[in-house]
Amino acid sequence: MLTLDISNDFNYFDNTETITIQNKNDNPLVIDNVKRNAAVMGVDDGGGNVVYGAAIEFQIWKNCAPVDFVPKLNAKITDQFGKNYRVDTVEDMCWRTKWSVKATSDAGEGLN
Amino acid sequence: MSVFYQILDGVRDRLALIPSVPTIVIRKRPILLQEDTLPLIIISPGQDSIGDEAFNNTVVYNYSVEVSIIQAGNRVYEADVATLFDLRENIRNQLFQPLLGGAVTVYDCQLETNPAFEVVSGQASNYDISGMVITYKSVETRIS
Repeated sequence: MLTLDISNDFNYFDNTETITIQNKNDNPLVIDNVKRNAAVMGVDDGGGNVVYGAAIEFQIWKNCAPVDFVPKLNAKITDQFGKNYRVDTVEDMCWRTKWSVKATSDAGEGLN
Repeated sequence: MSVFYQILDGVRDRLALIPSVPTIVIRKRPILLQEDTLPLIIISPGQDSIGDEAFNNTVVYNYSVEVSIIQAGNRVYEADVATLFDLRENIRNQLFQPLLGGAVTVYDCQLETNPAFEVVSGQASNYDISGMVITYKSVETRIS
């Protein structure tokens, strides 16, 4: 009987990366095999001003993170290029086998 | 040089007097470019309107200038609060004066402040934005 195992789907993706994530008041944590979804880049109107930012979604497989790790809102993520993001939303996805983390790039770090 | 640009220039000169002031630029609109380094102060023209009129072709024009402070927030909500208020108060005190150097027709101004930390969302959520609008009154002569 075929067994469906989606907890290690990172094996089937190219271009995974290693990120560092740091919850507020916590130590930085390095996580491998993170998959980055397509970015949404654009401008937004904040208080009558126009500023730049990028919305990114990272897929973090729980197999690749410590058991007790939970990404939290406003956590800082540093991608493989050293660019920083802050977490906007966290979803516990795919039968609780991975975290889907949406984040926005830090101020002044450009679009991508 | 137009009175409006004299005012923008005068505002920039005034703000440059503030110790350790961030980079100041004059732009058509309060737009942050991707290449900009933060923090940044953007001076941009708002609306100009006709105020009081008097005999002998005397007219008062009102020129609004927007001053926007943009700095990195990055979800840090406790730090830099006092620093921002220092800068904001310095800007207010430099600009809320009856006269403005370089714009000899200016004789008074009004100042309206936006919230110290604007509510921002979406891709702007990592920026701290603070703004104020200064309306300068300039007494000029109508051409007839």
